[in-house]
Amino acid sequence: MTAPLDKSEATSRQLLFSAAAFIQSSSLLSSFVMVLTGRESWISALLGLCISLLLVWAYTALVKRYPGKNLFGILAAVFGEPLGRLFSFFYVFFFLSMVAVGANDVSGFVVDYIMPQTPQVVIVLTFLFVCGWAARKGAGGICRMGFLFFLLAVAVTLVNILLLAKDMQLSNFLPVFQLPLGRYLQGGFVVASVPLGEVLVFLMFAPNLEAGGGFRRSMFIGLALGAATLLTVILRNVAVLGNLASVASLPSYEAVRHIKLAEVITRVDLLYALTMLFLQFFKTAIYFYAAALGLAQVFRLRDYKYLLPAMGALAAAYAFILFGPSMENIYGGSRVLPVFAAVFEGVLPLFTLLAAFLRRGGRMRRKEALA
Amino acid sequence: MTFLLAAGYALLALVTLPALIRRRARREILVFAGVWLLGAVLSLLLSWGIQPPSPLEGVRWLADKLFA
Repeated sequence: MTAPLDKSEATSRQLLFSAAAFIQSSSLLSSFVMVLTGRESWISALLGLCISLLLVWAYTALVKRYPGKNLFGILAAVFGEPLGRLFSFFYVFFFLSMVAVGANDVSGFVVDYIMPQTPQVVIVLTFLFVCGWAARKGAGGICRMGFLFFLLAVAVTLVNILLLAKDMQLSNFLPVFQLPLGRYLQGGFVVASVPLGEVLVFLMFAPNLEAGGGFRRSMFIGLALGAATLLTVILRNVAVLGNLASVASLPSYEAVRHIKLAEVITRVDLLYALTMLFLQFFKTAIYFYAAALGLAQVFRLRDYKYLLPAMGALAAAYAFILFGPSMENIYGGSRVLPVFAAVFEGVLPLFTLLAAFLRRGGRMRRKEALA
Repeated sequence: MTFLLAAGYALLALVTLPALIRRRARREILVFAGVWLLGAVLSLLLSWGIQPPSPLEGVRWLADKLFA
């Protein structure tokens, strides 16, 4: 594989907040887990965090073992050129699929809740154009936005919680442990796959981290901050909506719609909508960058930026093929997408790490035999 | 709609290809053309009301088995 095509740099702090903001973007769309475990989704969130700690350890172990390489470079180093390139191509497909999912989510939300008369394709193309523009700036340019979006998400979440305090009922959390064990495990699997395990994409940013930057530390703290926001959002939704949280297509949006203070402070859902759009843009831009950079690396191109327009057009078409209407989307988000993501976020990285250990063990045995 | 799509994709090629041709970046042109063609075909099929199958159909089957 060629050297990284992007020479921009990001500090470890920028990477940390970018990872946190990346996870926060999914926390605002918590229906994927609430449809499964309803008011007990906080249990799934905690379970998912435990699973994702193992996953992030595996990701950072790979980066530590192969410094200066991104995910595709690591795959080539472990599996050799032909097989490494094949796996890399699968990852390009995965990243492009996540771009399409992001475009689908945003356009579906905008058409359903904000601009129902606007053709969805217009929203998709506009959104992907902006994401592509951000992807042109490279890893350093994208990560510079991380802290701002993280702060925005935290501020909006805290303000919403304060304004919804009077609508919260602790009795909405009861009773607990009423569901079969399998449902909690499925919920934990979904949380580990879809919001938390997606930080795998930051393996594409590893070579761009400043010299001496702590990739492992940034990933773990980013994961913790993102997961804390996810848990807070789920707890808020359950406290406000109760059982309704499991049937709402956008529980966070429905919860925020309850805000009404003295008939003056209302329609705060617009603030939620804006925050969600900003964070989804951030997440999709990261995936877009990873897909374009990855494709350029697979084919040994000199620059990835020329691929962005064509990949944006492809992603726009793909967005209409992946899932159908919003209810289908919820099914896709809670069942299909986690299984799809688990292959790339769990199975392949753990397999790669195991292969890396075995390669090192084999190499050491050969050295001892020759000595 | 087909005309709009064709115009859009033609514009895409017009904006990107001249710079690549000037640089004689053969590989970039080939990869760009491949992605461009795939996007154009999918977009045209969708505009004609033909829904290509989702690549996640196989995953849906697996998910249904796992979470039945």
